[in-house]
Amino acid sequence: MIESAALLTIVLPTVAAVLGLVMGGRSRPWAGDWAVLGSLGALIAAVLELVQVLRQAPVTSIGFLGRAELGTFSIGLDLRADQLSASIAVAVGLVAFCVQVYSTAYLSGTGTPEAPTRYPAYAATVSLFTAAMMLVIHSADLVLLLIGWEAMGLASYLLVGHHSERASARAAAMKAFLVTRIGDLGVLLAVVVLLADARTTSIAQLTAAATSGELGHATLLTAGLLLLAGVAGKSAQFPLHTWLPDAMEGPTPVSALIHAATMVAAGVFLVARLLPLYLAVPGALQVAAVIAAISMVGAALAAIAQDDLKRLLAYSTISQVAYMLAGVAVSSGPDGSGPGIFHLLSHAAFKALLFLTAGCVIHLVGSTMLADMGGLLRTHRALAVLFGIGLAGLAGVPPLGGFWSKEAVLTAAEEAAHAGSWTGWVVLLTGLGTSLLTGIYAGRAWSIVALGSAAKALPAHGDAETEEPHETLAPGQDAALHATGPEHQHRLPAAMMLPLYLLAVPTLGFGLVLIDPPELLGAVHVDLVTGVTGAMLSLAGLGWALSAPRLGAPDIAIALPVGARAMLRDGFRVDAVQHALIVRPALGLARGVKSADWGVIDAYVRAIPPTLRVGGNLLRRAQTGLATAYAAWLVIGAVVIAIAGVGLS
Amino acid sequence: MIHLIGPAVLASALAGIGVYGLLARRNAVLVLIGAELLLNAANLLLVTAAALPAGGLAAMPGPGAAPPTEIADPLLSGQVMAIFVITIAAAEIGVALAIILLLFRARQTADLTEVGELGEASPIGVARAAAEQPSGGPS
Amino acid sequence: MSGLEIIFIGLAVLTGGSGLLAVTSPRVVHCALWLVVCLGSLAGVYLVLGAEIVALVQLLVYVGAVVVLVIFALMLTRAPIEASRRLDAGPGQRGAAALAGIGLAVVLAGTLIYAFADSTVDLQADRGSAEKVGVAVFGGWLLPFELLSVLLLAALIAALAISRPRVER
Repeated sequence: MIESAALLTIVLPTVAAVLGLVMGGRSRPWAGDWAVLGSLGALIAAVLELVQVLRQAPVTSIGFLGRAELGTFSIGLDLRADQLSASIAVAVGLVAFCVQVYSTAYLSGTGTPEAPTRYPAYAATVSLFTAAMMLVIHSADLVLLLIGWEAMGLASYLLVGHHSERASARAAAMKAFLVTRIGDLGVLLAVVVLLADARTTSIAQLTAAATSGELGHATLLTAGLLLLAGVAGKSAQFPLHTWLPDAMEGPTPVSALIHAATMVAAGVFLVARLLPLYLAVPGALQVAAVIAAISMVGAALAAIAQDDLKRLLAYSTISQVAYMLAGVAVSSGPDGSGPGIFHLLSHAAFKALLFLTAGCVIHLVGSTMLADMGGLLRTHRALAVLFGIGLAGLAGVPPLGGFWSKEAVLTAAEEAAHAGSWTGWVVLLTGLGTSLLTGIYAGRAWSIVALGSAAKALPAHGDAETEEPHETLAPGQDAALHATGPEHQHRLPAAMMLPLYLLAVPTLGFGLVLIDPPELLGAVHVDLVTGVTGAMLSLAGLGWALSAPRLGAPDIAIALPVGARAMLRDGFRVDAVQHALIVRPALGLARGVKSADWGVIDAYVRAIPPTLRVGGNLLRRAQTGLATAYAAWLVIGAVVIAIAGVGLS
Repeated sequence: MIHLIGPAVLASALAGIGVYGLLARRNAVLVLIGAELLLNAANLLLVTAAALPAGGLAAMPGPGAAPPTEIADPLLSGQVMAIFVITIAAAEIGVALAIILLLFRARQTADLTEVGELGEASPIGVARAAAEQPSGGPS
Repeated sequence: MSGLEIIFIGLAVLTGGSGLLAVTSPRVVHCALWLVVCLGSLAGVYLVLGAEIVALVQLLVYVGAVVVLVIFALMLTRAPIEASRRLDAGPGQRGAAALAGIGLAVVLAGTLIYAFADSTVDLQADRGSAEKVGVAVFGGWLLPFELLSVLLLAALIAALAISRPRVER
């Protein structure tokens, strides 16, 4: 039962992807049906798996792809199903299902010749993305995990660059691919290092070997740090986080998928899965904690000054994923990953809700800029409330799920700090500070979008009976649509609203899990003092930001100095630094290689035609047409051959 | 008793004369005469070599020793080759003269310097092309 | 110096001189006739060297057939009987041709003198007799001989096909 459920979570989206591509073709309904059915199937299978796993012992070896015989190594490409994989699988399945349903409306229509929606390919890629994430979380072997990891990178590249007619989308996709590739290289090398020492890549055997001390300290430290590079790449942590804000070029539902459940969660999952390895080398965990602390505060600060809603949410993701990583990094025992995973799950709910709501808003406004938004509460009350729920979850307002999970992370950090770990102090203090910042930027977003007055007024809500069927386009096209006239009614289709309600439920009530926590979350608890402190800080930030409209402007960020604001908006100019330190030397090297190739190697090739032409012109003169001359050449040739023959003999 | 160096030098002289005839003559038939002389030079050398004992020059004894008498080459390669060369020369001159007749019939001349049209940059070809350019037109 | 050598030197001088005249004479008919002398005396040289059947074939084929062909060709191409300057190329080309001829002769003679040095052979009368050559040709050389007959046939037909006036249809 568990076995089949775990298998189905991977197989169903894959089948949906293939069928959607093969049978969908140009016909949209088929592609949409397959994609929704595939993700729904995966969700049901994941729920079944979770139910079973909660009752029974985890299954560590599910035959999947047999064994790969690689010379002296035999690698079992098996799956495993335990509470960690099952719970994340449920989150992935839920988010994927919501995204697929949402996308049928969001990417409906054929778009324009300049910006086609290419819905079948999009839906199939999302299904593939889901399947890859499912493979990652169910892998019982690092090699199989790496396969899913890379497939996820491919799918993210395709989805971020979905609007490939835009140069910025192509650049963002390329950046996402290259930056995560740097991290993926770390994962690959880590697998090699572990394979060289432990002679196995099975996660169960590796963790057993690590806890029993069979693996050398150097091996574990190297592998741990290399894996951290992959984690930083996939989970968008400093210094490899720069791809995530740019990845907002992709369609908004894709952002929901990437940020909520699939891509960025994979990194945290990897650390949680391999926690026994990390516990054997505290150094790697300390590095992880420091990375998380930097990402947490830095991204939250950058989020405050963003003037683009999606980029704001992207920076909030970096910050929140840093919470998860920190929660795992301060753990001291094998079950210490609980708070981090708890936050991962609750974050999956509220971040998906936020992005899908943001997609609705962007869809209505036709722009992603905060300056174009405002007054949502007046025009679309339900949407505004849902957006508020998501932001409250993000800020950690009690008693929402986000509150419990964030405070659980802070509690774990506090306990680590009291146990004498300096990383615990770092995480605790930055976490509390980030709570305040999170409150500020969450409140700012709500204040601008829901309360503020838009520069571009939203069309009134009404005349539902007389409106034409609403035709939606890709976000970039909405502005043109809106410009055509306000007679277009902005009533959102049910396919876009229903997933929001569905996601609001876990956002609101995820804390209820703590009443009877499963074994995975057994160590999760919230300390009263820490919880109250964190909540107070969040509420203070929220209140401050929400009070901004009363002071004259809905945007609290204008209180910042102009220079600081620009600095924050550019994400501390990490991009510029990386461009100067890495991109420019690489480009210079490439130019050098190119000129060497062109000037030296190609020169020989290019010299052939002129040489032949000159030589041909010279030889042409020998063709005099005079028989006597030919006879002379004949004699000369004979003499030369004779002399050569005599000389050589 | 005969020194073989005499026929060898005669053959060389004939070859030189033949080359001169080949290169210095304009009349096609006379050029052929030069070619015949070259062929005869080769023939003379073949016949001379046929007079050598078995094993060729390597088997010659040193100066002063009695010259070998036995002939070990039952195939008589040198002489037979010479006969073959004569035959081939006959065939060659037949075909060559037929070509010259054809040339004469077409051009009313057997002068080789006047039939250089096949040359890429021959003065004749260039001159003829220049002469034909105005009348030929862009056909 | 034996009697044979004296005869050879006489014949050699005759051969070389007539050959030289054959390629330099300004009268075409003289050229052909000097060629007869040259080829005939060369047949004598063959005789001196003991190759009597080769000498006979030389006389028959060359002096008999080839030279007649050449004279016919000269007549048919209406070559001028009297001395003509148009037979030869310009002085520059003649000089170059002479240089090439002398050069080739010197190179060849040098090589051959070096090779033959002062080697001498005793010639036997019956070495080039018809019987021995016949046995050799129809024994070990049979296949090349037959191939030669095919070549001759092909040349015969080719010469016919080329020189026949084209029939206008």
